[in-house]
Amino acid sequence: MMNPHSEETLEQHLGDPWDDTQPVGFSQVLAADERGELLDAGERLLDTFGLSAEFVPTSEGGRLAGLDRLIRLMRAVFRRDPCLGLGYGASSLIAAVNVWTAGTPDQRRTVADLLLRKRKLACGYYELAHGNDLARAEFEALPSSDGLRLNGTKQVISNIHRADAVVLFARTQPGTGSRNHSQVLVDLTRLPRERVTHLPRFRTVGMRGVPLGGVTFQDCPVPTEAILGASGQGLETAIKSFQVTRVALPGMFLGIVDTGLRTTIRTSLGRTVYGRAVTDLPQTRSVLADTFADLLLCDAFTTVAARGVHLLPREASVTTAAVKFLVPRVLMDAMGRLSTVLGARFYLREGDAAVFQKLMRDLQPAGFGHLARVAGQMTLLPQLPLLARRGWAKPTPAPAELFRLDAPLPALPFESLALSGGGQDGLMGSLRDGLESLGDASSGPLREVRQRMEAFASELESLRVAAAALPPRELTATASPESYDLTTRAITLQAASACFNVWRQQAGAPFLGDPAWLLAALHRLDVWRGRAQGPLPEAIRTRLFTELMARHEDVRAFDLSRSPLTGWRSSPAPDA
Amino acid sequence: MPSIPSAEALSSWLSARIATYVQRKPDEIRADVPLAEYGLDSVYALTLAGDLEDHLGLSLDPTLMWDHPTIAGLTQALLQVLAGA
Repeated sequence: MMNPHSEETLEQHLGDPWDDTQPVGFSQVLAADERGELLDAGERLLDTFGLSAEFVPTSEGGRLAGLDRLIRLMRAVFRRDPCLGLGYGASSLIAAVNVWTAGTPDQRRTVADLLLRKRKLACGYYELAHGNDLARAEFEALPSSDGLRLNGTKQVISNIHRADAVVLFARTQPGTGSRNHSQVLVDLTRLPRERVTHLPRFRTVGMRGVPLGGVTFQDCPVPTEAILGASGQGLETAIKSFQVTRVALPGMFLGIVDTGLRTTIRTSLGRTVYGRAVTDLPQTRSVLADTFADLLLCDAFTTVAARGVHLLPREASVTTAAVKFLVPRVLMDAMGRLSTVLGARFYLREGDAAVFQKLMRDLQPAGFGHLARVAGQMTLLPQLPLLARRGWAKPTPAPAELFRLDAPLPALPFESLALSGGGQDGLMGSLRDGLESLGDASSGPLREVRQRMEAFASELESLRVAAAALPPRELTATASPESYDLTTRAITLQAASACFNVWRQQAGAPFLGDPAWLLAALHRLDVWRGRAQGPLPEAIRTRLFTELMARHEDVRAFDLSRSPLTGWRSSPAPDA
Repeated sequence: MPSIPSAEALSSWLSARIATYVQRKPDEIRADVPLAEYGLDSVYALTLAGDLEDHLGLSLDPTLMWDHPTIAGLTQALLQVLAGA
């Protein structure tokens, strides 16, 4: 019997998106998007599957065990409709991780129960005036004679009008410093109505189906026990719980580009220009192979960072910030490039490629949503000197399980998340360690792998010297562009190590053990940071294009997993 | 085991350190003023925790700086950590 909670079951629940008669087919998804609504039929299917239970740790009665599994499951939703992915799912997850990180046993039970009943949890951090500068958030939950009083406005909150509860980031005492804010878990079903005003819905470019609202509280009483954990812990809880979501969300968003690439191939196969199919044009093949390599690069980095939250939780502050900076940019650039293959069709809101323009719009929040990419850099910057003095000077490799895609993981250790990695960096340790274990190859792709990794290792050495010399004033938001650039270099080296070690640990696997994808991913990484340009070398390009077309034919995912997309039948390409 | 410095030595080490962060003279840094008043935001806790760890030879949670935002308060908290180490 099929596991009722598996990725395969979810795939089959959701059905074939190319089939117009399916409830979550692209034609329904697009129609809902045009109406600016979440696809109701899709929400009901996800209720049947019980997707919300995936956001509740197993210790609280749910099914959240591995972050990598959660990402893969959510990708199945994001491949079809990112609005459903965010509006049904990820929004509740973003709020819930605060509770798993800092909540009391009672608060955890309340939220677990709410999600297991398939209700929604909203997350109100944002105040448009302060962006990601959380320490300046003005919304108040100040003590009064009988508990707390909520005062102020929170904007752009998904699901606020229909959630049973909301996690609000609020000032719980006046003054400067870092202990003046807390998360407050507010039961929206029990508030005095006259103290709460809902703002009109915010209209958006992408994710049009996600109901984005806002809320103003006026002297609204809530019990003191609403504070998550200890009062004043808010900034700390935010920094810790964001480590989980800022790797999980980019990992999910990758599903958007999977479908973007699939739509482009499908449309191009059936379209003839200059006397041949578009997919037979060398330039098209090159763009498709580049995009495939981008997906493998992003998935290798995301998967390693997600597994790292379990295996090296203390270092998650560094690796997840790095993912947040790199992955959304690579994904958005990839979609932009694919649009050039589609030509005018990518711009049309009807026809067989119409889903592409929606996906391209829906992808944009990956860059700023929940946390801006630059916040990733700002998390890394103050950690650079300590990394330079410790982990990069005396490297300790990460455990091999970090890179073994099928190795079991311990439970998510929310209690071990930390403000900083304390200068440790297993990913960089594994870069050097892996290089030492590479045999001497006098020619061929293995020699090239060695040369590339040697170059990255020597770059790590120069980065270490530069980072050790950073003065304290260069470690904050007002740092110079040159200092910010050091974080880009660190992020690049981490991503390179992730790809390199995933390749090493899957030795013997038919595709992932082949150096071709690794060399392609490293090339794309250098293109991302402006160190390289131009197409992949021809032999690598051909290998990737062949694999890509085989996966398209077999209807398999374009990520590391190569999973069969069992809900999608191999739909014939449309006529030109 | 790390040797325990005097409160006075620790306090003046901290003043000197903070002074270099904010590019002022050590005698301009008062022990009873919250460090935020000198323009140090929450991320300085990471830098200061790292420097303190190297100086004292022990492991610190950077949130200690958040809980004790003045040099005087931090000095007392550090002495307690050292006594328990």
